[in-house]
This record gives sequence, C-alpha cells and structure tokens, in this order.
Amino acid sequence: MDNLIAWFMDLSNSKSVGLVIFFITFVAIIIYVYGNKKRSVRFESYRDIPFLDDEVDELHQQTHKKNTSKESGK
Amino acid sequence: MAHSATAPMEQYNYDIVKKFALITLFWGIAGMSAGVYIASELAWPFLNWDIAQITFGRLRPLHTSGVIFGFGGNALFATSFYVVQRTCQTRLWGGRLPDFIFYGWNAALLIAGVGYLMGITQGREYAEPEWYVDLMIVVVWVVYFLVYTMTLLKRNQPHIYVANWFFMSFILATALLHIFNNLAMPVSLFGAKSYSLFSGAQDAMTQWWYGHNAVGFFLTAAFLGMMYYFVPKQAGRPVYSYRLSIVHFWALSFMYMWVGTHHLHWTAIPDWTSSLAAAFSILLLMPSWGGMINGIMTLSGAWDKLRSDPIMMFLITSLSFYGMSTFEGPMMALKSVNALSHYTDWTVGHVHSGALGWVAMVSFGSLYHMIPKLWGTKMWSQKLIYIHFFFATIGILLYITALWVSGIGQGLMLRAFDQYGNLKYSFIETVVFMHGPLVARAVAGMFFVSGLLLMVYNIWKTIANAQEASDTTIASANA
Repeated sequence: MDNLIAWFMDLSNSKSVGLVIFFITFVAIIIYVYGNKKRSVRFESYRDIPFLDDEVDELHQQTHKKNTSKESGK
Repeated sequence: MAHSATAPMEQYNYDIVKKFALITLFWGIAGMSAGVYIASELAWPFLNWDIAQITFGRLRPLHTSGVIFGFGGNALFATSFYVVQRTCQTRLWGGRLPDFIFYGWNAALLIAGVGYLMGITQGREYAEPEWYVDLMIVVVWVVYFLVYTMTLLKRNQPHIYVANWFFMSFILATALLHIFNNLAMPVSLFGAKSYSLFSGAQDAMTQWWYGHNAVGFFLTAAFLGMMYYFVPKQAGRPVYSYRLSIVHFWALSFMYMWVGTHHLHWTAIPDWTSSLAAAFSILLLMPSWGGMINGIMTLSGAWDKLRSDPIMMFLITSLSFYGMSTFEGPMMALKSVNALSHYTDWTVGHVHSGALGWVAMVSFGSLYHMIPKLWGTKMWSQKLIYIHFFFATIGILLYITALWVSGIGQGLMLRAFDQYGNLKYSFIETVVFMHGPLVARAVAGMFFVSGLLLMVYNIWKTIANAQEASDTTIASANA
C-alpha cells in the first residue's frame, strides 16, 4: 500500500496519475448519467426547457398580428 | 431601438440582445470584407497599393479579430443573453451592466483594430491587442461573468439547461486563457509596446494553449451552446438526447485543454507534449461527433424541414461542417500528416471550414430564428434566406476545395527532393502553383460576403416592417 501511495506521489508519474484520475472521473460521469433509470427519465425531462416559455412568443406574435391588421384596416 | 410594448419586452431584456445582434452584422460585414480584400491581395498583389496600413500583415489581424471577436463575440453575447433569459425564465441581471459590456467590448475591438492598421500588435495570433486593450477586455469579461452568473442564480427554472453550461464553460475558459496568455510587461505606462512574461518554447506553448482553446471554447463550446438551444427551437422538437449532451459537455471541456501543442509539432518543444496533444486531438473526435449527432438527430422525424425551412438548412449544414472539420482537425494533428499540412494553405482552409461552415452558419441560423422573435414579427423574405444559404454554401465549398488544392500541392512541392537530395522546387515555383487556387479562394469569399449582404438587407426590411407596425399601434392609441 505504501508503495502505491509513493508511486502516486512521485512527480515523474504525474502523467499516468492524471490519466488514472481523469479516466475514473469520466467513467463515473458516464455511470452517473446512464446508470439509473429514474435519473435518466429526470435528465431527459430537461430537454423540454427551451419550449416552456413558448406562450411568450405566441403573445408577442399575436400583438404583432393585431398591429399589422390595424395597419391594413387603416 | 425599435420595439413594441409587449409582454416579452417587460419580462426579458431584449434591448441588449437587439444591440448585440445588430452590431454582429456590422462586424460580420467589416471583418469578412477585410478577409476578402486580403485574399484578393494574395491573388493580385498590386492591391497593396504600397500603402502600409492596408498590406496583408496589418489587415489580417483586423480580419481575424473582426470576425472572431466582432462577429462571433457579439453573436455570442446576443444569443447567450437571449438563451439564459429564455431558459431561466428570468430577466437579465445587472440593470445597465449589459450595456457596459456592449460598449466596452466594441470600444476595445475598435481601439485594437485601429492599432493593427498602425502596426501596433503583440504578434500573438488571435491575441494581437496590446496590454491596454487586454486590460479593457478583462474588465468587460468579468462583468459578463457576473451578469451571466447572477442571472443563472435568480432563475425561475430549477434546472440549468445544458446550453448555459456550454456558455459558462466558454466564459470561464476564455477568462483563464486571455489572462494567462496576455501576461506582459509594458515598456512604459504611456507606450503601446509590451513584452510577454514568457520566453522561447514556453512562450510558444502558452500562445498555442491559448490559440487552440480559443478555437475550443470560444468558437466551439460557446457555439454549441447556441446549437443546443436554437436547433431544437427551430426544429420544434427537443434535443435528441439530453444525457448525451451532458457527456458531450464534460468530455469536450476536459479534452480541449490538452491539444494546443499540436500547433507546434516538429519544433523545439518536448516531444512528449507533442504526442500528448496528438493523442488528445484524436480522442476529441468522439465528443465532437457525439455532439454533432445529437444536434442532427434532433431533426429525427422531421427531416422534411430540411427541404422546407431555410433556417433549418443553415443549422443542420453548420453541424455537418462541424463534423467535417472536427474530423479533419484530429487528422491534421497527427505528426505525419502535420509534417505535410503545417505552414501551408491547408491549415487556412481547415480553419475556414470551421469558421465559415460551423461558426458563421450556426450564427446565421440562430440570428434568423431570433431576430423576428425580438421584434415580434416574421422575416421579410424567406426566399432571400434561401438565396443566402446557397451563396454561403457555394462560397464555403469553393473556399475549402481551393485551399486543399493550394495547401496540399504547396506541402508536396516544399518537401520534394531531386535525385541529388536538393529541393526540387524553389519557393517562387510554389507561389506560381498557388495562384489559381488563391484566385478561386478570393471569389469564394466574395460569394460568402454577398450572402451576408443579402441577410443584412433582409433583416433591415424585417425591422423596418416591425417598426412601422409599432408606430401604427402608438398612433391609433393616441387617436
């Protein structure tokens, strides 16, 4: 165990240590994102966020239509 | 600013988005016209007219800064402020601070641009402004970070949509890159000249750590933020896979930071840094293509939009070019390929397939989607959007193929030997060979700028119509 810690502490092994740390982190993210059905459903529900304020656009468009119809009826 | 008093105007700060959207078009015309002019100078050198201020060396940074920071930067301010408000369902934080960002950023660009024409430059690619402009940019950027973060903090939506992650990654990484790459000592307090704190190979590595991450975080991550909002919105269907977007974000953010040294293959840097950069460049293909597939598959089930909707054509074509240039980039980062491609026009062609094909096309698509919504109207002419799309696409394809011919031919000629081991071709013979493709490249640029001029006209008419309708409402209300 001491040898393992010493290997990790040795600066000349920093590239390999970096690789191990980042690879584990990346695998952990993959498992976190894809590893649980409930969580997956929650994540996928966030896809709809850009559409949550669509009524704002509709309101804006309606106001514009009203404006232009007033203009043509002038 | 023309606007009508409607609900979104009260809920969101659209005025600042409008300002940034319009100045984007100004910088687009200025920066791309400068590009066409210097491309023409390479094809027809008499265009220098012996005037120092308009020679290639001085106009080139004006072109790159104009398109990257003027066109691209302002497009990112516009879309990031639009997206953060819409996805957080809250008004932009900071009162007049966004206006400060608008004036500060554009003043810095203007001062830098005038400086380039006078020969004032740090000589660092994509980081040419001298120390006083660098300081202005730092102040503006910190305020941008503050405004964006505070807006996120006061959101009315519990989850932060993934587009904002990409924008935040861009803001943080750009701050880091800009500050460290521009650490310099001015010669005097009132002089323009400064010297970098780094020297030799360290200076080169710092510069290309900055240079490639400017591509990675400014020109890629941020525009992916744009893509993750505007592609679903225009397609009218949610992004293909939200989970894939999360993996895309983390993989891209992590991997880009390592690849800058592939710009320095076969130079005086340690060999392992070169190999590391090449290895990470190849790895980058996976998140890049993951993101591209996520964007394109968003259209799954609505492919007909690619025939009927010119804005969708812009957005999906931009993703195709993103896929193509993120394949070409890793390939060029291989040491053996780089030995041929480096210091040739192939690199310039590769950069433009990303800059025009990906960055400009996704920006055009996003602006065409956003501008009618900002002014509460519809685009004046759909037909002009179609024509713009074809002008832009023809321009890009002609540009890339011309520089493939020029660059690969140039590379092969520069390293050809005769039977005695002497160089087979003189430098001037490579220049003569490149003349034809360089003419084609200049013509390609003209196509692209012509398309942009059509866009400006279309948007001008759109805004004028919206303004007219708004004036009518006010007049009838007063009557």
